[in-house]
Amino acid sequence: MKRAFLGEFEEVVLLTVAILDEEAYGVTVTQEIEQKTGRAVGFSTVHTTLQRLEEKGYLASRMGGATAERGGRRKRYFTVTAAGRKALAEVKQVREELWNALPPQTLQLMGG
Amino acid sequence: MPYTPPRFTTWLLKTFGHPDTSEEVQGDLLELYDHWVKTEGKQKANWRYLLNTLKLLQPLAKPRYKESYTSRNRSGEPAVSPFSLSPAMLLNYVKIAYRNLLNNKGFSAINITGLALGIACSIVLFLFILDELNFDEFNKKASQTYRLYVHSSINNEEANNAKTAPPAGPTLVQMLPEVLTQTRIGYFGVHELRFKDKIFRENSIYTADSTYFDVFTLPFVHGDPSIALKKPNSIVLTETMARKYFGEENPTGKSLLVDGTNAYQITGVMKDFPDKSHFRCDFLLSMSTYPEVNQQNWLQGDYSTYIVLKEGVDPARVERKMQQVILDRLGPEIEKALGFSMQQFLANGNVFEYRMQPLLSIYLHAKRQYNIDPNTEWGNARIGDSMYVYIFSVVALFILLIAVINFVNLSTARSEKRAKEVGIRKAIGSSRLKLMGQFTTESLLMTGLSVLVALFLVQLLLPGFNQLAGRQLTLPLFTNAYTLPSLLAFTLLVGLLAGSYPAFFLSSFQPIEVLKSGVQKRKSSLRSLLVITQFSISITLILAMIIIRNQLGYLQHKDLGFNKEHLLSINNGAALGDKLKAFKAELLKNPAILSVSNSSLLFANGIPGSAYLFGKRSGTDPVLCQFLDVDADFVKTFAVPLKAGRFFANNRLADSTAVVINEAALRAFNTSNPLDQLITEVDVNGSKTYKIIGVLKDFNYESLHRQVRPLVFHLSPVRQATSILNIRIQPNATKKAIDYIEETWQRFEKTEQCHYSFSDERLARLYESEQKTSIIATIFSALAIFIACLGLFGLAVFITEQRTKEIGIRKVLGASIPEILFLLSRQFITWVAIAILIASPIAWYAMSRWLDNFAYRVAISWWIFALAGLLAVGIALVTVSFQSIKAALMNPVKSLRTE
Repeated sequence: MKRAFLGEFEEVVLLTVAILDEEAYGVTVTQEIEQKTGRAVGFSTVHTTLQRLEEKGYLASRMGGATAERGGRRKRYFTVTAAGRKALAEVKQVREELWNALPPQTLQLMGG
Repeated sequence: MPYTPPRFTTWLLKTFGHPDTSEEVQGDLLELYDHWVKTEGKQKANWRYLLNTLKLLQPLAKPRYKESYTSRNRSGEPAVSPFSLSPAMLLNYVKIAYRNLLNNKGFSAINITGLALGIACSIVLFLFILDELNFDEFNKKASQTYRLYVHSSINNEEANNAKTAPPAGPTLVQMLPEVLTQTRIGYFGVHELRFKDKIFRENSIYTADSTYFDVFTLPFVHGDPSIALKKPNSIVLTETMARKYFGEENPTGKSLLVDGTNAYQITGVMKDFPDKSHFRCDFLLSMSTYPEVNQQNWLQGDYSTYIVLKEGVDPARVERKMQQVILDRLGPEIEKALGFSMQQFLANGNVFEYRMQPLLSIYLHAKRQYNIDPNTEWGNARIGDSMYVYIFSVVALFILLIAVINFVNLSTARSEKRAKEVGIRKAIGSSRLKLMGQFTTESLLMTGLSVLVALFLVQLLLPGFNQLAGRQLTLPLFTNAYTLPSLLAFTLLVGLLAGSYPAFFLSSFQPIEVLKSGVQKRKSSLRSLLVITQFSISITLILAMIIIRNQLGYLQHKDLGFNKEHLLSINNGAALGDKLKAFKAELLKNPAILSVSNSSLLFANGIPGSAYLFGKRSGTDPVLCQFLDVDADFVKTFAVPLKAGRFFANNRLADSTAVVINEAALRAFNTSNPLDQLITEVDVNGSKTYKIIGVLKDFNYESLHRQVRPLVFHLSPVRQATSILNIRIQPNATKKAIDYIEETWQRFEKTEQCHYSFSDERLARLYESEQKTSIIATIFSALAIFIACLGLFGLAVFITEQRTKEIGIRKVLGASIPEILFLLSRQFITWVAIAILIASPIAWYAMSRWLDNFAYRVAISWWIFALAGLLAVGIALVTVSFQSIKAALMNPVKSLRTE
């Protein structure tokens, strides 16, 4: 079976969109990632990643929610598509398989 | 209220961001910007905003949809006119431009060389101009700061003096609420400073008020600027000086011994003065060391006073209010000194007022706009000249214009070759606009290449130019954020300027006509006009160059009224102190030394002046004279002829109350019989009266920018800080004399070197700025004519090529070679002749204005124009004749056979 390929950052962005549920757009995603992972993320990076994920079909988007704060411009809200959910699940599964394959003594050495 | 990010960045994003996602991206970034400002501050937010924007610009941002010939935007509507701006088409323009470049290597080389030279010249000149601008802007309160100066008109003699009376500044702060603070700077003279075993004589020591650092912004390395100059006997020194005396350790708290007697405590170390400061010094002494400065003495004047006004105050109003305050205090003193009331003094048509000059205008405009007598700008004030800034701006523009004209001319001249291409492109469906776009791309490419070559040239030539012009110019390519964008803008501007006409012209061809028969030859009157413009400019520059050189030669060889040859001066005579007389006697023992005279400073700024009354002790008509302190050997040493009476004698005691005047003073006193008359030097602390015993013929003791002014000689030990020993030596024994002087000096003065110079060299230094201008003018007029000739050469190549057949036929029919040469050169010579006619009056007018700077000047005679004309015609002929001779000598069989 051809597995979905997700880059590490793509995965983080996709997950964040899923976490934010209805409230996911460029700004919230950027801020959420910064908060959760503690690393400084450029908005431009997040934006291009969101674009790419939509192109790949993992995200769907709609426009809406203009506020005065944004000079009356609409936001592009993102939601995770079925394909996106599937891709996330696959990635998680691969991770878990790998973790499970770890010999117990190594796990102990790592303090786990 | 949300914060607004930088407008330019927003514009960038809006214009160059991907159109499909433009709306939400702009909105998101606005929201984020707001967040950044709140959390990280405005500067950081601006930076992040810019960074993110840059990354989102095409082509860095990934396009959402693949390019297609009729690309759609998100809503599915076809985009407007997509094809001509598609990368494929743009690439094609560049490719064609590149092929054309290679195809016509000769033309390309001429074009690029000319443009590159022109651009390099303008960059260098621009750097030069930039170096003269923005002086004193580093001071935080620069725009509120003014320097006081004294404007007077006594007996219709106008004078503007940069130095003011000592109580002026403090009085104004006290009396006018608009004046925030003030500081005075006074020259302290040459003194010996000592710390342990380090002894140096320093000549850049000034006294300044404790408020100095409130007016001028100079960061401190050690110490506190607000209190550094408060206490008496405090001294602040620059970082360089601190290193000289103390090495790397912090000197605050230590003491410097001045002249071996007074100890001054170091209270601070300031950073060295910035290059762009009109005033610079090494040491600042606290003014409070000399409480006598604060006495009411309004007639004395040797302090520079700077005042700072409160924000938003109208300076003109302050200047008006100031007059009464000053008159109230000055009046009584004038009355005491002259014996007349101030009202009477003013009623006689005399003027005496304090004025204000903005700090920012001092460096560039003191001379021209405020007419301040450079003689009163002594001290370490650096004074520039706005005139040279204008001259060089014009020259830079002109040279650029010549280069651009080359480009336009050669491009249109070559149009025939490209006519077919234009026809085919049009037939296939290209619109005129697109063709213009193509040709503009080509010229932009050429300009871009030229700018690169020019940058290389500038880097290569700047060191040499710096040496000639005495500057330290650098091209801050990467260190200054503005350089690259401005270069880019400059490239665009020049490219469009040079490319717009050829683009317009070439794209105008009708496809049917050019495809059928090629371009019909048309006489381009524009081309003649452009060539004439080029040569007018070049000839004007040549004329200017000849006249400047002429004037400089005149200055060097003019009879100054004394013998300047074999005259040597030791400029630090003050170092000898009491041993001066003995040193003089010792020097005279050597036969190579004819005569020695000790005098105050001449041939430089800072010659003091005073008011003198002739034949009376009081009156409203004092004459302003400069004075020199000399000894009895002055006349013998300088070889100035006596007009009447006698000079001072060594052994007459009575001569200390006698004076000698010059002819200019004689005229100013308006007398024909001056001998044994009395003159009174006006001084508030008791005027002194002297008897005139002789009149010297006028000689130029100042630069030749000025007429000889009234001068009074006093027989007295030199009262100023600078005491000069003038030495006349035996004509053929220069080396011997110098060796002897140095050796004797070393016997008398152990610590300090002997600083001597030849008088003719010191005189030449008075015209340094003119010398440098002359060099720069020479270089740039040579380059201008070279660039113009490059263009002419290109045109000649082109025109002779066009007329190959005509020449062949003429030769077959019996034309001689000279006839053909004449035929080919006639047009060019006509152009140059017209240019001479245009350039001559312009150059005459401009150079007359320049010569007005000199009291002694050459006349602009007709031969200069004839010479410049001949030169221009000659150069043009030589340029053209390469081609025309080749064409004229060609075998007609060959030229007629080519088809």
